[in-house]
Amino acid sequence: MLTDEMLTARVLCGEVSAFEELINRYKMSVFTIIYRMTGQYQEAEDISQDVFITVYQKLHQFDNSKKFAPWIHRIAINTCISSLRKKNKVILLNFDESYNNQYESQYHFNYGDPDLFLRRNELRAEIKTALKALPESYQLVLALRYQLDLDNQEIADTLGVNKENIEVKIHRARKSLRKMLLKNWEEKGDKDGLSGY
Amino acid sequence: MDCQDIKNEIYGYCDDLESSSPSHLEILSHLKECEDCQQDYQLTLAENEVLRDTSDIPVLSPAFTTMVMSALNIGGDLNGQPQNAPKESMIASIFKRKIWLGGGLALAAAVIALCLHIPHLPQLGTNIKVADTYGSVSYEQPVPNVIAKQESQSSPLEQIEPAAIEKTEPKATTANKSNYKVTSTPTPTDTSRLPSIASAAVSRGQAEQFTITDEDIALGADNTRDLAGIYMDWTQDNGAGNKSADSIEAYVTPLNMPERFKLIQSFNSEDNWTIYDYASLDGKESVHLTIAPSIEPTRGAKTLNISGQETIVTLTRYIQVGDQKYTVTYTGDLSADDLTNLANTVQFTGEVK
Repeated sequence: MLTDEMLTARVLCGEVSAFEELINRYKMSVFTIIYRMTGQYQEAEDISQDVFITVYQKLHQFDNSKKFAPWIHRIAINTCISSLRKKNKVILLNFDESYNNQYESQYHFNYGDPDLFLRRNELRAEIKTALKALPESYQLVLALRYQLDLDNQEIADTLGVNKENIEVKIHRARKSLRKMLLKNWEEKGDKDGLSGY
Repeated sequence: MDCQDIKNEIYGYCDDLESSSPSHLEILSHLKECEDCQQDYQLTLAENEVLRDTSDIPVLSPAFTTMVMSALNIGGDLNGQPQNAPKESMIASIFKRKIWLGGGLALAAAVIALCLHIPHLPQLGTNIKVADTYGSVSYEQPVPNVIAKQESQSSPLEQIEPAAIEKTEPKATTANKSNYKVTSTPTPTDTSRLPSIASAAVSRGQAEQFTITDEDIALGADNTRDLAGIYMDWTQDNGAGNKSADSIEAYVTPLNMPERFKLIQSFNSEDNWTIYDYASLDGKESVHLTIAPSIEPTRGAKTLNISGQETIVTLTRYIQVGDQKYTVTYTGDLSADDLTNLANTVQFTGEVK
């Protein structure tokens, strides 16, 4: 299979199908990033299109000695920020469950125990609430790490920072998530948020 | 390992549950004995499930790829060649944007101010006086008396005054056309002191529309600097004016491009600009030629590209076809020397109106 970098070289030589292949490889990751940032399907799709148009037009600026994935993900993030800024929208990292009815999550629920089922759903909702309360920068690195399954080096390349910075950032983000979760439980008077899980 | 060690390691442990490293075995052993840490472990797993859950991500339209390809208008012809290649001249792109008017006026104002400030500059005699706005030094460079062919100059920053352009006899093979050869003139060795008009225009245009402030970027204070540096924009106005290389109605056509470059795209803009985009066959180099009617001499300068991370060298020269003077701007990701050598190689032919 041709590498991404080989495909980019072919695109630059005029091979249209090579760009189609790049789109097919990256459309989901690009869309996931943008959907997490916008929370709107149509908007995310539109911005994703813009990302690939940008990539096509800027492909001659791509340094073929480097990895293509961080480059396109970086463009996705920046294009999304730009688009949201033009609309004066607040950037948010969406973890809502608006599509959960259509796309069932693959959890190992114990359907035989309704209480446990409800308790787990409740816990998931609480974690999502805590997640949305985190700073956007934390949400973004967590999305890149856990949603796109990028390793620390890949995230670092995407965001243009060093790997150590990302390690620290993710650790802090996880700590903040836990802190936020415990704080929410404390405010609710639920001192045993894990009960029944 | 004590409980504090477990708290520090638990995220890594949960991210890589299948590991059998000694530290993992130690954590596993501790978790079996410590109820608090076991609860911490269970909560971390629950968090991981949520963090990894992409079930709420909608399925992208199956027609997405087709939509992008259509938007790009690169359906391709029988040879598989794109109608619009992935080349958007940076200069053309910049001037297509809304900042074109403001940037152009600012550039014109800068040139006029420069001419007023340096009274010798407009005088086109046997000497070229190169203005230096950063000091009182002015360089006097003699213009060769006979300019019939290009001289190879290695300076990355060069300027050709209109006076330094002379018409050559048309060749028999181009009976209806006139060939004009461009020559370069010696430039000051201290090019770092030259005013960077083009650079200022590019930077200003970029700043007006595309500046991102730290607090505007989602990545938080420690990452914003990096993100701001790679901010990008684009123009989608690449459809109406584009023509294939075969059908272009060129006002001025470059000749003698090095063989390693292939013409990717060329088109005439509404303002009688002719733009040629070339890419090397290995895809590693690109060169953009923007040929615009001009009578105002400006100076080629080293400019930053849009991303601000790479250096794009821009070289400006002047040619004359009939009575019409043109500004030819070379932009590319070549080294300054290579771009200069290329500019020394390329000649132009054009329809005499």
